[in-house]
Amino acid sequence: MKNARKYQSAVPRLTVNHIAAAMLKSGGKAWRGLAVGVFLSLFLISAMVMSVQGVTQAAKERVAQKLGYEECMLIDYPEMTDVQLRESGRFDQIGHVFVAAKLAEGERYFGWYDDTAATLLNRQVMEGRLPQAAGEIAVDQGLLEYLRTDAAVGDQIALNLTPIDGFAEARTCTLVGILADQPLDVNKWGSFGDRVMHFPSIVAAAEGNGFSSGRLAVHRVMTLARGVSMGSVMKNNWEQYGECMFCIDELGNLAHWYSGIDGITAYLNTTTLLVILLGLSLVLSAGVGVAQAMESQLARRLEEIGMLRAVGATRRQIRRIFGRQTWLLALGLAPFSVALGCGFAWGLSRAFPGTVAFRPTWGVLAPMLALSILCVWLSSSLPLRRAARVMPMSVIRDTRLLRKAKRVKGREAFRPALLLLERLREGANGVGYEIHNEDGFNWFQPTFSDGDAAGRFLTEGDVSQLRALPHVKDVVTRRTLSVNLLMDEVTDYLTLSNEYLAEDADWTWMGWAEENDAYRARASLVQEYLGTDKTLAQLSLRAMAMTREMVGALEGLVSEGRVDLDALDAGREVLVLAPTVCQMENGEGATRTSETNARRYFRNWTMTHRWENDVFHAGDTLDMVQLMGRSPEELLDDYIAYSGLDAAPEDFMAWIESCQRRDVSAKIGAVLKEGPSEYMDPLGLPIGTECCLITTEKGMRAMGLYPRTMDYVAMYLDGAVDEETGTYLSGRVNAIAARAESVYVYDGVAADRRRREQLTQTTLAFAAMALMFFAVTVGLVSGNASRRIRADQRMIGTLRAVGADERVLLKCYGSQIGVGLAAGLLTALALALVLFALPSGLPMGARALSVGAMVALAGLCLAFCVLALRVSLRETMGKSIVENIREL
Amino acid sequence: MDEIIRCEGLQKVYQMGENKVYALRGVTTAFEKGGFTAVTGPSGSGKSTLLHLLSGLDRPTAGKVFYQGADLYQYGDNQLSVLRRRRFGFVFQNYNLVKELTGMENILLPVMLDNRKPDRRYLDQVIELLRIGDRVNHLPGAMSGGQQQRVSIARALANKPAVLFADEPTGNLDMKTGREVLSLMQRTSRELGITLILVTHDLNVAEQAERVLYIEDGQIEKDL
Repeated sequence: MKNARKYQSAVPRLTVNHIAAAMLKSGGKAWRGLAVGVFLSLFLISAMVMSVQGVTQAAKERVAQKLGYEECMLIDYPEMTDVQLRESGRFDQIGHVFVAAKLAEGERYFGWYDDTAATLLNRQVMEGRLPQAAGEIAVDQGLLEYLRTDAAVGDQIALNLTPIDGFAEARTCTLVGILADQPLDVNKWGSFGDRVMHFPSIVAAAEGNGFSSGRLAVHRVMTLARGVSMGSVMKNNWEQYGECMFCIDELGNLAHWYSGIDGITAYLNTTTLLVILLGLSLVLSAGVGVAQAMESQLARRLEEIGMLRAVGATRRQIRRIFGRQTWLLALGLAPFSVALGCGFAWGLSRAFPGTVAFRPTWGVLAPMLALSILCVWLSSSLPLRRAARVMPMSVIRDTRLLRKAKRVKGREAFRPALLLLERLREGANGVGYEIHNEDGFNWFQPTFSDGDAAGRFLTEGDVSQLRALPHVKDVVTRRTLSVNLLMDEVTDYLTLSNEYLAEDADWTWMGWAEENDAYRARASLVQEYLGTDKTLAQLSLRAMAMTREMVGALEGLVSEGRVDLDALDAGREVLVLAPTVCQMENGEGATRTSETNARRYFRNWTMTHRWENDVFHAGDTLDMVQLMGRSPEELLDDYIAYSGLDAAPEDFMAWIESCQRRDVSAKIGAVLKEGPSEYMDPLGLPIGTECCLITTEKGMRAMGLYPRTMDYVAMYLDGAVDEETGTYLSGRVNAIAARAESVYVYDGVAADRRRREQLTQTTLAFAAMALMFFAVTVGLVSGNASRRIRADQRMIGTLRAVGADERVLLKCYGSQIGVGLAAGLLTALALALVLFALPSGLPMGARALSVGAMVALAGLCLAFCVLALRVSLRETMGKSIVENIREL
Repeated sequence: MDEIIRCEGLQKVYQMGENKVYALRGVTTAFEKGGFTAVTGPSGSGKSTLLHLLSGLDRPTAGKVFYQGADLYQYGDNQLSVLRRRRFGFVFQNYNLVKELTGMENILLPVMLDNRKPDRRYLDQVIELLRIGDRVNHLPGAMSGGQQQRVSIARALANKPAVLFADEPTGNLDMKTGREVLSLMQRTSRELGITLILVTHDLNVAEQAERVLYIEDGQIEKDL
């Protein structure tokens, strides 16, 4: 009884945790591999989640900075009440923007916000403060440019205001603050019927600023209710919200048109797909790492597993005992790996401020931990299941281990990572700015004159100021004129640009059947006025201040003839852009588009008709007539009063007679085909189905055509500029652009910066993946080699007994590793090439990181694998030959 | 005769490359409850294979094993595991103790796996019979071979098995220790009413058994 008494006081309570902890405690080096695997996977997942969250958060903050926190806007639509909006369940917060009056000088508005709207719109005060009392105002920075005044905070400003649908009033207000400009997106839409589409550029206090006449236009800025998507709101746009609903997408763009949403959704889907692919490959790599480490660990413990099975442990109990060890490791390592992951994200946010934000919240940390746990659980469960499934004697005998070790040699789990590694893109197309007039050429209202005024755009003086900015290499301007071609014959191709000319034109789908007749009637009147029997076909004429480089670029589009700059400048020749047009159908609908766009965007559609240019040929002479109003300032009013479709024939005729008439002739120097948008856009050329004439600024003047105001200015820089210069240039260009109405500014410098940031992000992501690929590959191959060596101990002992040295054995295993790696690399390269061959690649993955880098990486992997192999082999060879042979 | 285990036409074939190796060629026999049977024969004769198949540690290529009339290999994996831990005990030649657990924890393993509380009185008895009370709080690494094997026997007996299988239990021990372990195992089994089936190629060990099965080339050559 003496012995029994000794232990009685120490009967332990044996649990799975106890066994797992004991194994971990005494395992030492044996568990290091699994610990590293678990640590790496937890770190990678936390780093990935934190970085993705950081990038997303930074994007959100950029959008909030630009447009505020609202997610959609209902513009001046009193038909829908707040109650109705709330009852729809689509919206959460609703703020109100009150637009009270319009500035006499142009399309700038006076109004105020309620508290919710003020919060949601997040207007940035650059100087001073927001108005708090009647008579105080804060204005957009650009408004001062627009008014061409140098008023400062504290000054009195006299305003001539016309209340909406009311009578003009003069007011003198105190300027108390200057606000950062509202993004042009908000104000680029013109009026829509009687509705006011603008937001106030002159912000007053909510109280005491009413007008004695007129009405208040009320815009509502809203956030979406939980679970409601922008797409679902926009689908109901036309029916329910009177086309007055705008949404702000994740990129900070204002989306109104249905198709716009589709495009954004497609873009976001692709980006999301890329992020998901990246994330999945990282998680997969991390999972493979854990699975490998687990499998390697279990291979060492197979005898114990067999013994436990022999004493009655079920498969589930085996999984619990050994799985628990992974959990304990994960729990112990989680704080460090998560902290390191957070540190990584913090480092990124410091390295790329504005692009990556560091905002750790429980909302991110909790899913991150859940994802980590899921990854560890999933990746460890497979090896555990496999290990628990074997028969006890099989593992005790180790015969299964032998067979298993021979089976695992050629596995490659890194293929997806290698594949994505290939999908890296570089470079930006060019650097510069473009300023467009959104009202430049309204082809929805073709008239037979140059009467559609372009509104207030930049002056020659403004262009000179742009030209004087530092680093500006060239400033290219464009004017869009309307000219009437006098044609003997009208083919189908020409009716694409002048649909009213087609006898069987069916515009009823746009509700324009009557307008079509009206155009024809007016065409007869113009023909009568001009005294010609020829048919009038209206085309736009792009007059560009063309540089030699642009001429060179245009030559890439020539399908017939040649581009002669001198002939263009002399007004002897013009160019004709004549795209091939395709009718595309997909069973649900039909659309017309250019052949380039059809190939690019309508690949799954069927082409039912194709129109090729059969009108314009190089060398032909074009007879043109331009009709223009008396002066630009009076043009708009004239146009509405006399040239509108509702105008009486005699009024219209009187108006035509009041216009100046220019008759010109020019030969077609070259016929141009269409190009992709990235080629056409920088040249200021239209994309799509529009056929147009092109000449130079000098040519336009030489021909004697009336020069309309500019509608497009492109500014090219002499190269990439640093961030500080870029910020200065962007500020100046936007300030100058603010002097015009309805402009859209394309900031190429900012876009280039964003592209470079994206490139950096992608490079970082791929570098992280490459690192992971490297770690996984080395772990995978060396783990397998180590297991094989262990299983082959008897063979190694035998070979040693007959005189094989380390070199011979190393060669024996090394060649297998080399073949495996080479096969993996070739397969990955082949798959990557197949992916590149796909016409629509991922936006970020246009070009390979480089084959050289991949080969270098594979070489590095090989070197490390051989090193790991050598270590394993030395460990085995450290034992005596007899021990090697006796082992099994 | 009150038989506890019976096997019929037991066959085990290993596939070695293209060749088939017959470890057992249709063995049929039965074991009496509470008896002590020694299975002996030359190396590679199939004696260990017979023990593994009788105890449900491996699956036969053909044939059946009945435990108290029930076909062992009709059970699912979990049922077989439960049977092994409740009704069978197994002693290995190389002890197979979990080196990270103390002797006592190793002994308690089958009890823990069965989610039961240890029967202290019974364990006292086993530990006393095996004379390991002063070693059970040590790790296996701190024990001699004989002590480890005695802990291994205690583990096999922890759940009060009906049958104790031992595969060359003295194979790794010196002669004196081996004899001592064997005697302890015999005594314990007898006192606890356990059937003992033991594989050995040591004829001195076999002589102590009540029954000796001599196996050669996968078949029972003699049943003494």
